[in-house]
Amino acid sequence: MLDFIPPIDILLQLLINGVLFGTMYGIAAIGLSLIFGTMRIVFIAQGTMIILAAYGSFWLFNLWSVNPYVSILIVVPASLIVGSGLYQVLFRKVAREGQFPTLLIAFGLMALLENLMSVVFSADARAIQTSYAAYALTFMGLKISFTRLMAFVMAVAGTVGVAFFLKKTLLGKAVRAASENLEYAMLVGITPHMVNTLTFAIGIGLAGLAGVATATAYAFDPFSGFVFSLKAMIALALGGMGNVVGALLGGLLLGVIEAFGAFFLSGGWADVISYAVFLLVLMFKPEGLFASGTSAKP
Amino acid sequence: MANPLLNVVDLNVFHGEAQALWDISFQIQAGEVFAIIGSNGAGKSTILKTLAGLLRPSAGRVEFLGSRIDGRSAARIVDLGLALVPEGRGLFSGLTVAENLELGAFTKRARPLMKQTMEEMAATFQIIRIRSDQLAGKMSGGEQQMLAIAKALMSKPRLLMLDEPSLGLAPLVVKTVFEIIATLKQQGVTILLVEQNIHQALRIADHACVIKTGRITLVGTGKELLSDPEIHKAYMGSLR
Amino acid sequence: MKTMGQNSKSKRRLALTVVVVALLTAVPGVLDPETSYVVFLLFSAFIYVALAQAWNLVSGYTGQVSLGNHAFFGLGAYVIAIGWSRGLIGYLDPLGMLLAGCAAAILGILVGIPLLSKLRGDYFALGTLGLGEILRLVTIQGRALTAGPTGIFLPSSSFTTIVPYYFMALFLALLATGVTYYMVKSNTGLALVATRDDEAAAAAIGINILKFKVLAFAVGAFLAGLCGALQAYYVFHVEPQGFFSLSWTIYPVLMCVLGGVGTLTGPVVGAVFLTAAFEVAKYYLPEIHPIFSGLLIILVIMFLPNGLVRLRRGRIVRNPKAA
Ligand SMILES: Nc1ncnc2c1ncn2[C@@H]1O[C@H](COP(=O)(O)OP(=O)(O)OP(=O)(O)O)[C@@H](O)[C@H]1O
Ligand SMILES: [Mg+2]
Repeated sequence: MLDFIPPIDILLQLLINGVLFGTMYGIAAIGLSLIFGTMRIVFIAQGTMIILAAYGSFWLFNLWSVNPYVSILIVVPASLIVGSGLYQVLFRKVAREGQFPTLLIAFGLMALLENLMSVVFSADARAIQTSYAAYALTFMGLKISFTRLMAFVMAVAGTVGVAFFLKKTLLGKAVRAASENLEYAMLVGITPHMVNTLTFAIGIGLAGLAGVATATAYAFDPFSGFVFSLKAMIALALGGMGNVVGALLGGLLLGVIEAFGAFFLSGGWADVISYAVFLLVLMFKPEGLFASGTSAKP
Repeated sequence: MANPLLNVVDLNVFHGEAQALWDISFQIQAGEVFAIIGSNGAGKSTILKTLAGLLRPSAGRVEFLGSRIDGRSAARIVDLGLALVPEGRGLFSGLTVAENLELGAFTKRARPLMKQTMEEMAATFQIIRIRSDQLAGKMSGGEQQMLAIAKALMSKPRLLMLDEPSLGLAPLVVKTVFEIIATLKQQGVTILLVEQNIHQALRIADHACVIKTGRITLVGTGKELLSDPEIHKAYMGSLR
Repeated sequence: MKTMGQNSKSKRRLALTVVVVALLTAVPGVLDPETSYVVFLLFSAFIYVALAQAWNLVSGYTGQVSLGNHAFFGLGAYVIAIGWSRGLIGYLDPLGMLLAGCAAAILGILVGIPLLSKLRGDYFALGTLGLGEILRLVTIQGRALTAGPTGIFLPSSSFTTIVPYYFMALFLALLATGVTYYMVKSNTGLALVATRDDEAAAAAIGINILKFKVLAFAVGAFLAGLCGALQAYYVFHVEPQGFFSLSWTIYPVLMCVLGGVGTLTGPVVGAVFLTAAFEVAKYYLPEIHPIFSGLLIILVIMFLPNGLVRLRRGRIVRNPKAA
């Protein structure tokens, strides 16, 4: 019977891989969570924005040899600008029409970008090939890929940054207030457009960070974004909508579930398990598994 | 009479297809307490929401400090000095007491004064001093109402609008709320008070009006209305 | 007076419908179906009309945004593919298609009851979205049964002419529109439409919301399953990516929005218009046509949010917070 249970070091390795990859879901989920919190938009194009940023980092490296970790300084600010621009151009007008048109616009954006990228960049899978791409740290017999560890660090840094912004700055408090009750927020002088622009900028800024992390540590192609978005939504459902740290934890949990699922079953079934968990959580614990904690909207 | 602080002229407001207010007109002088009374669903909250910029009137106008404010955004109106404590108190229950107060001073005009106003509030309202790190949603109803008023005062309002501040509070707490209103009045704050607690509201009000199914049916000083037989018959009987 | 006016209006409508259907029936006789592009175009348009109407019934009239139509579409297709490749059903077999529709409807009921009773708004949308992904992944993992990621190839030598496809698709479009009309005009449907924006009110006047929603969801699934079945017969190759593609949900949704959500004619107008637009784009811009589709979605929502048929204002799931 116990033959099924693999040695402890394999389990630990799975756990580490799951956590490292799960942070990618987590950071995408935080962006979704912010945008959903204030605008009730299920921004399904989030994953595609991550891939776009990954291409940004990829080309900066390939064309001008910009170190991918340095490219953060270009990609993230650019993403912030793109994010506020996206809101102004695409969502400002329809934000009050509700979740339904905005969901479609987000889908349209996803289709547009996916295909634009596949025409311009080709549909080939890419990954940044740095000299240290294959480097791995060994720690007590466990292997930890350097780039994945860096991706993890970036995701955690991004989460901490956003959590700090929401917790400590007046604008961040305004975002939390607006997520909780927009009408009350308007009564203290917070304008919805300001908050929406801000959350979109931050959400897409995080996508920028996740994009760089993805480009350095994993392979991607123009169409990877959609599944990324879905996974981020699962992470969000696990962590609870509008809960920053919960979203990251949701991502980690999903990563671990997938890592174990892939090991014990096969890659494809792991995804089925993720979606099944997703549906179960939506049905039985829609407030998320980590509902209490540092939250934008308890 | 001097120019009124607030001048409401022939206001008509709809909720979707249904008209909620017909030709509402009244004036509020600086420094007075003006009460609006009326039964459930009469349209009291609708008036306040319209003044605060949450609803757009279909006709009529609102002048505040001599300039028109109808059609302006809620954010602009609170910056001009018209603050509303809405029904349900308008607190952000997931934010702390201190955070609620900070956001109360979000407007351009009030933000530079935030620290100083906060200290003033702490001097006036006990709970703020002791509980600043507590979540607003975790406080008792009376404490929440105090906090809601303090939060509105953080915006340095020229006119403070209170929508049923005594609703759902124990009698003793209601007394405290009215004491605070009296104190604010003494300090020169102009107040527009919506109440179903008619007796107390009329006692404190300089002027008042009665609203019935969206129309003003009576206007007068607080004293006049307090002794009006109609009002006694219609409202006081049912309330202690 | 009022009833007379409505009577003559509905009579005019009926007459118009009959004329249009008669004209459409004549099309394959007038144009050469083997060479005419129009026949193919109309065939695609009919399928999209049925899909759009299926979505309209669920989301436009009950206000629950479903993003799972492609799950039912794909399931219907796989029922045909699995059944036909094993000789259990035949080519363009009406019974087989009925089976496909029923399979989708049963899945709709099984999934619909828990999802509709537990989830509201966005959560329901996400839940149904997950359903499509699950089915796609399951078919990829389905080994011999579904032939994995390559999918099932069907005997394409059976194909002789597009004419039966044309009429079946026309029938599906009429069926979907008729069923939607019938369900919405039923007492429950009327009451539900009247109180769509206020669920508490609907419950208060004694409407069994869940029952109607599940029924609408199951009927929508049935229709989507039928469409998938017909598409499977037409394509002769049923594989996970193509048949569980989210496009089978989103394009119909877009068509409803373009035409007018929660109206009977809106999805029809939207489906015909968009099918034509997409086909033209495919013809003239074969490389970049998907880009064009994405752009079109954005433009339609931004500049035509209420739809071409402006019988109702397009307020489906209003955002209570963004008022
Ligand atoms: N959002 C809304 N949509 C539609 N009708 C509304 C809405 N809000 C209020 N109404 C209607 O407008 C009328 C006035 O409502 P309002 O809330 O202003 O009354 P009120 O005097 O404040 O009552 P209460 O004492 O219960 O607070 C009522 O008939 C109410 O049903
Ligand atoms: Mg009220």
